[in-house]
Amino acid sequence: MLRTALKAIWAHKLRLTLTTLSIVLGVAFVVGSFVFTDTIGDGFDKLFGDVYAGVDVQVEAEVSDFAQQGEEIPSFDEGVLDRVASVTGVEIAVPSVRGFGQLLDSEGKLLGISGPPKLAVSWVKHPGMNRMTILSGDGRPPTRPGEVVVDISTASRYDISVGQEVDVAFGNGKGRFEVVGLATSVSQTDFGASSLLLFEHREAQRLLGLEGQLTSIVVRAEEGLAPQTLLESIEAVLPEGVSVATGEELEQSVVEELENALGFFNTALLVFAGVAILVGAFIIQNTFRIIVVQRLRELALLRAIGATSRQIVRMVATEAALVGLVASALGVGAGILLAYAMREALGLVGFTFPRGDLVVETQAIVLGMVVGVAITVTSALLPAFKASSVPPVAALRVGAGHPKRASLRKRAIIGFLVAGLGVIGLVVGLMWLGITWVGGGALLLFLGVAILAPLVARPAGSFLGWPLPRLFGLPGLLARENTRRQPRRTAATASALMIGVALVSFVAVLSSSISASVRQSLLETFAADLTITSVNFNTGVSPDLVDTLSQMDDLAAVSPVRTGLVNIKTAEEPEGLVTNIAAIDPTTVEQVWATGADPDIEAVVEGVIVETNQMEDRGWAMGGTLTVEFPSGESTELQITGTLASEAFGGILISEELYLQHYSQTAPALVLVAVKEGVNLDEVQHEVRDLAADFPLVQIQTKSEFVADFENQISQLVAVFNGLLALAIVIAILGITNTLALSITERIREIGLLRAVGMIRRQVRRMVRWEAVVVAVFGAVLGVLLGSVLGWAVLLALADDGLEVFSYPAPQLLLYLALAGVAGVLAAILPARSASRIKVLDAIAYE
Amino acid sequence: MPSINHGGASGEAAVRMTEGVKIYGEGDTAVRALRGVSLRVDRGRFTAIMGPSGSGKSTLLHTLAGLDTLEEGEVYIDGTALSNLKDRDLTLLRREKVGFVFQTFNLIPTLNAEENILLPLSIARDDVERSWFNQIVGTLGLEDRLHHLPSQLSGGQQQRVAVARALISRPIIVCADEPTGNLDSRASDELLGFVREAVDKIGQTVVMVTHDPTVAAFSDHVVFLEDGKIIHEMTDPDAESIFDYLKSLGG
Repeated sequence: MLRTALKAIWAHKLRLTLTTLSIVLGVAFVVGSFVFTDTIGDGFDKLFGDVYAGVDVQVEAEVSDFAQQGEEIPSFDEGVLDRVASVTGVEIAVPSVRGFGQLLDSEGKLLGISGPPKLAVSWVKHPGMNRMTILSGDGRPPTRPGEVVVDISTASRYDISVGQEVDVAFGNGKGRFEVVGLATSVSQTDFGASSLLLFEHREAQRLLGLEGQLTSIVVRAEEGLAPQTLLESIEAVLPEGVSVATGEELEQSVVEELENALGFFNTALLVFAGVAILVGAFIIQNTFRIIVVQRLRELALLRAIGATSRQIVRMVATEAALVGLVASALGVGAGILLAYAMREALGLVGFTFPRGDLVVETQAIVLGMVVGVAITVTSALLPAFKASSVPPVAALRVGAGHPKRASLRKRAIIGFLVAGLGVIGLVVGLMWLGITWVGGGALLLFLGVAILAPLVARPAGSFLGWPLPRLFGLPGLLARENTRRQPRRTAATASALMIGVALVSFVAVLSSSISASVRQSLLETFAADLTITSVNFNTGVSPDLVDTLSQMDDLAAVSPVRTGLVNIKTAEEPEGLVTNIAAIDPTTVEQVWATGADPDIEAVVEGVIVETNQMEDRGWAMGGTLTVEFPSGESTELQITGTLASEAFGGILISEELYLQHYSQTAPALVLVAVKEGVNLDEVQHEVRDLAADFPLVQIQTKSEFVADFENQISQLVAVFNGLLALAIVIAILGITNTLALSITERIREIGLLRAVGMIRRQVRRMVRWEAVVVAVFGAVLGVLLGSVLGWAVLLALADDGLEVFSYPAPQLLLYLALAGVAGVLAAILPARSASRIKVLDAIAYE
Repeated sequence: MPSINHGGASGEAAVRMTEGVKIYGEGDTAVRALRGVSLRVDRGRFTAIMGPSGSGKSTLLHTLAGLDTLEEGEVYIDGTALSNLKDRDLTLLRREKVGFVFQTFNLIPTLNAEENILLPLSIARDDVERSWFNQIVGTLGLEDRLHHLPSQLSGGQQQRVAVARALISRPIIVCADEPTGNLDSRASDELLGFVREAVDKIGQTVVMVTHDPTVAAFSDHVVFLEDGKIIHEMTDPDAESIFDYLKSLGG
């Protein structure tokens, strides 16, 4: 049977190529995701591996578990250094500060993209405890104010050399420095898009606004002393709020954090890979079903000469396994290339990752192969069983009929059952159980609709194809009728496209509604004329700038908003709830934001005020007490003294005073400015921009810019989603090509007859093309409908969380339908060409 | 009216082949299916082409109908030489001037009987002459089958639809390739009766390939082919004389 299977494969090379392509693409996505994340992970492991190379123990400000991922770098009092240094067993204790510092270009613009860390740190004078070193010929360490050392990969990227002057932006201003040296990492690790600027320690403290403060003390133990022992002695002398850990522990926690982040990223990519594979499975199944029908007589002949039905199943399955094996192998190769291409492409737009070889783990290859082969074989099993039910006598019958079909009623029952389970999964997931159930529910709903689709394929063909006969005459009529003649085939082909289109439509509905909701709530409650933020998340807006602005006559209010993480514990939730809080200035905030506070915003001074929906969701009540734990580890009891109508700043507000007691970061994340009435906004804006010129990290936006910026972020996210879903759509379009090509081999005689009685080639191509367009648009209509329903359901579930507006992006969805039509035209190019080249005589030649 | 091109103003044949040579394949395996065939099919005549398998009779029909091209020689349909025509022009010529009836698979399965009959006109987007349509359909007895799909028709009915389709565009010539090959003798006689009627009443020119003497007997003129050459012709034949001639060949 193996030889028969091999011959069958070889006899249909084109069909094989098309089928294979959908598997290759799916497997490539899976393998590419793994190789990409493994490679990046490996690069970062190396980068962080030597951060703690010379560190026996390190002293840092204490951070609560829940705030580990916070962006802020907490500091502690410098006085701790003397205490640590005097502990017996400490050989050297080196103080250091670390903060944000980014290079500027000659026009004062920030160099490099935001995201990868741009650090300014103290130069550690003790070799062996400093992971950076200056090679001979690369200058010297910084010793005086006004001197900087730049890491060598950043220096070469921006053409910086020793002796040159550079401008650097910090959270609270900027400065000009002479480059006195270029530093290389001890392990020669590449920094990717991160950068490292090193200053003399006192200078670094001043620049980062950390006079009298430290962010870490690096300690080397005396010869022969175990770090763990030293750690215990140091711990005994540390004041509250300062902690100590061994270098090993620190490295481990950094690596763990990184693995979590990359794991999340990998999972996200794999979800999209999964969608692509699901679509591929539809196409493989459809292909094998058509092939089985076309080979019915051949299979019946095998049965007639004595093959058992089990042998037939085995033969079809073997054929599928061989195809799957070859395609998966190609997919693995393509996946490795894909990972490489992804890294290079991201590098081109500024996301440079630490250099290094591609990391191809065996498990990525094995997984890709297993997924590819398993999907192919499973998809082919149903058609294989159908093939085995062919009676041997079918070989003898002229024009053997199709294998017995399941009744429509049975199909309807199964379809509604599966779709119903999907809906239940969705509802349960949205209401209670979370994203996994939503995903599973959506998957079942897709399958259910795909099972039901053949029931509507005929009317859909008539409906979508109704203008064709009028527009294109007979080729149009035949195109329409061809979409109706095999409803299962049409539906299966369309369903593959449906999945991708449903997801992009879902994203469109969701994003448009989120945009509209945010826009509405901003327009209703947001009264600030200007918004001042920092271009990165770490530094905030310099308090110096806030002071300067507060003295401007034309401004009615300058209201700083500080944000942070807290862990709120109540009697009901003793474990606590990690959430964002915001600290506001009650005297100015009402002028920039209609908070709808009850009894009034001043109540924040007495405790905490919470947005009403959140109060309800969490079962809190006015006058109730919350135990609030801050990242520093300190806890305090706060009474709920008021409510908010607007979900401003996350909906949980405390006073500025309380915030400053518990957070070391003093710079507000956001400053909202209201201009006095009758003042020209443009002029004020210019004035403010001039004042802010010394703070390159600050960005000033008008109200409409602020809203546009938010919408821009959403549309970027949508673009990323659509980009990742594009592969699933491409596979579905290949599926249309595949089905058409197979249909045309079935219709050779029919097309030959049409050519004999006078159909010209262009008309043949037109007939094939419009069939493809109808199938594609059918799939897209199903997809848009499903995506709209999903989007509507999710929005309904999220209505309480501030997404009150359902905005239906009709023009965009219509565009998707039109694009599907175009995709149909493209999918039909090759099959149409081969159909038009069918030779009349070959086609009508008798058997 | 001055005579144009290929002369023979009033006596121009519906279709004519001069010294037709058709070769399949190349080199050692080449098969000469037609080896210098010259044939005139006059208007209003019913011509049958007979011969054993492999004699080239189907090739002759296909080349006469513009479905296949000659290596040497020329075919004229209604005075137009085919050898210089491009695929598109040849297709348009077939559409206007040639009607087809094949042995099997004559009808588009997705179209009903009426749509199948009107196929050549629909492809050309020509208007339908209703009285002509009604006359053909009436003669062939298809009035109450017009809205049936091919799968709902008997074999005889399917072939009658094919004949109707071949006649609808008033072609110069109808080419039929074993039109009764799959029919029982009753349906076969019935169908040939209709073809005969078309020749007699409306002067339709018909060329038909068959291997069956009783079928050929419906024609006005029989051409016998062997090894790609015309070896005999017979006018106003009957089944017996054809049978006798074939027997003389075999013996």
